[in-house]
Amino acid sequence: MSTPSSTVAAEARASVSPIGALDQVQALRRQGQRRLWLLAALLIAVTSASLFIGRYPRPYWMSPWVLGEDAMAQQIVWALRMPRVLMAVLLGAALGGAGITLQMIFRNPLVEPGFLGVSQGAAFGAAFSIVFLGSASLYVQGLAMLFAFAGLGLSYFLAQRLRYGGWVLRLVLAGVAVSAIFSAGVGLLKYLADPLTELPEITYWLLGGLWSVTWRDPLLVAPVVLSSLTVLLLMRWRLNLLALNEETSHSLGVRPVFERALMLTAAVAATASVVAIAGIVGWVGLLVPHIVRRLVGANTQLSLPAAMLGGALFVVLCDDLARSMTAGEIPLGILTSLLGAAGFLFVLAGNPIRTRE
Amino acid sequence: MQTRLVEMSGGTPVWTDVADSGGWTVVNLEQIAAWDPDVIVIVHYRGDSSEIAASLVENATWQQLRAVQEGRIYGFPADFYSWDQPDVRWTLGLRWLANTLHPDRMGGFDVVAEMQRFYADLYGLDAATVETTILPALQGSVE
Repeated sequence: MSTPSSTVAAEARASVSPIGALDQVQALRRQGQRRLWLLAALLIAVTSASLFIGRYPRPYWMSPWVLGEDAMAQQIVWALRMPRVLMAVLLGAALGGAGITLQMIFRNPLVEPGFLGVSQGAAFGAAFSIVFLGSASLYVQGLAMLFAFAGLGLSYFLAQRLRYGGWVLRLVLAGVAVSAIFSAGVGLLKYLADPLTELPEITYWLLGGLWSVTWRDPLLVAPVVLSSLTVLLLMRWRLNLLALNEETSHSLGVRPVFERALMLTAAVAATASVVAIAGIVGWVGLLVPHIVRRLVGANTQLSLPAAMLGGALFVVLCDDLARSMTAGEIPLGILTSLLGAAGFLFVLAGNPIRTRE
Repeated sequence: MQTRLVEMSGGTPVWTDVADSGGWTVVNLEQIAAWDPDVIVIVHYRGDSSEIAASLVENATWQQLRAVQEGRIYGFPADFYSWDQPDVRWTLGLRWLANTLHPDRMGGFDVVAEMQRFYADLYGLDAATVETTILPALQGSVE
């Protein structure tokens, strides 16, 4: 181990007394808190600015003065952009929050919220609805949500039946298997789909996007998303303990099985409901936790709310690009994957994490 | 196909800068508002396009579009298959579209007469057969 992190830790041990170390910890926490507030302010600024970004009346930017005199502009901001930006905030917050929760619970930095059969389940539900029930958004979203939860339930059930390895390994295995089954189903449905009408719709859904969002959508998912995120926020300090191994966390007063199940359900419920509306939007839940851990440290007391804010910020920005960069819509999932993967490489290649606390 | 139809009917498609790669493209309503088209034609492959057009006229956001305010939003006709598709019915679609875009120059489009002539010439169907089997399936903004 010759990484700079261990050097820093060694320096810290050598140079400060225990009281000095405590001061240092508190200074870092204050710094983290400042950055958290900064992130919140940035999100509010970007979200408000997003209302003026779009294609009308000119590409990219609409001056606020237009809003006073142009009835079309008022309609666009009120009926199109506002619900869409709100949905982007919910989507990002859910994916970011769920992402960091799952990464902590599974003690695995490569886990993302769609894992455990959720994304593929939702994809299967949406494709099934498009092929057999028509493309009315109520059916597509309803079935996507239903199958997202079915994916989670099936993974849970299978994990309990497996007689092999620890629970992390069992859940991961079950999730991989369930995802594979559903993605095979999606492949079959694509094969059956009418290439003129149904196939493009399935493809667009799988790429993810928010272009069809109206007020109904954010209002529909907000109760589920907000209550799940509240559960995560209230329990966030327990996550630090859940990330320890089973015996240790138990001896620290955690009921690992119960609390883990509660937080998992909350994280996946939030994910499933936003995925049902937006389609598969990848990489947000994977990348954002990594970035915010760099910003505010790994302690979930700060990093969980930061992941929600950061996720929302990232998705709002990506969706701004998706709807205004070209005259046609760019699928949101493509942008988040492209920018997310690029950002991920950047983070991995950048400075290594410094040890804190 | 739709681009060619509009061009041949004497219209100017607004979307040429988007759809240069062929295939379908998703655009949002903002972009349509920015294009500010004179005429909007709705194509729908799984139901009646004129119902969609009618529902859009009811929509508060769509009402702000100039084409909707001027009542120039139409559903593309279809019988068993939409008339904008690459099968022989596109000629019917073309005549309908040309008349819709330029009613003053085309002098009307009698859909029943056109269809009778079309199916008699190309499929050898007699008037009664067309009347009982094909006309009931007719959908779109046609009288």
